[in-house]
Amino acid sequence: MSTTKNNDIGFSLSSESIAEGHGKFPYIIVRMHYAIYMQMPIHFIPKKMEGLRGIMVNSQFEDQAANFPYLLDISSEYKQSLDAKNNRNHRLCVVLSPEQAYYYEENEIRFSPSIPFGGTLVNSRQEIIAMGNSHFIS
Amino acid sequence: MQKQLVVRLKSGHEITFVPNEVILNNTFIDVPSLLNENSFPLLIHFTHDALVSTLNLSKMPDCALLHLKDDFSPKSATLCLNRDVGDFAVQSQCKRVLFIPFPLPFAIPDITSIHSTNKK
Repeated sequence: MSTTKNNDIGFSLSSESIAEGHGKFPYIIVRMHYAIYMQMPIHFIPKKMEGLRGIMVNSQFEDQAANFPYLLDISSEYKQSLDAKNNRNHRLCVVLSPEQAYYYEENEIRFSPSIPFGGTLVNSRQEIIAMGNSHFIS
Repeated sequence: MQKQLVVRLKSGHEITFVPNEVILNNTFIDVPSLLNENSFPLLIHFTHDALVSTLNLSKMPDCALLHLKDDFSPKSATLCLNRDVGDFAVQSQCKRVLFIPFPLPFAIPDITSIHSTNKK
């Protein structure tokens, strides 16, 4: 852990985490416990790319926005598999931009201009990748 | 209680938007100035008797406009993607227009219905 210039406790995403695909939109945030979140990047890629972590979706679209209409289906499928694997309901959201997130609530998906921020951010291996900082690369 | 709009998709998913509603009697609206005081999702409700409303969309952030009938069911949609300097406006025959930020995580043709409920 380190302190920022403002003496706030925390640290931002490392270059290693960014190289794995963390911090880029779109991504899924799963609430693991109070103030502990897991980030699952979603990659739309034409072929397998070594080193990337997260959900890989085969796509030939060069324009990233052309892939976005599939995001709810992708995040819903991911939630279903995660719920089944851990035998519990997970609270999660899919984040599209700094001001755009869709939260899975009891029986609905709810849009919010407010996205998850801060807390302890972990990757899918439960390794801490950021703390007290934004979950995306500014 | 606050109004919320529930968008139902072919997949069965239901997405809830809690819009900032603005009620206006004008037929010409400068939407960017409205966004200075009201964030997305924005619902404009026209109360005038004219057949169409003109919406100035110049310098707007990217968004989708859903033109809604009186019962909130969708009639048509417009994508507002400003890429160059210039003026951009659309006309709507609907008395209610919902603005949501673009890109969307679903395809607009997959919308099967929209209905209004009150937030508890």
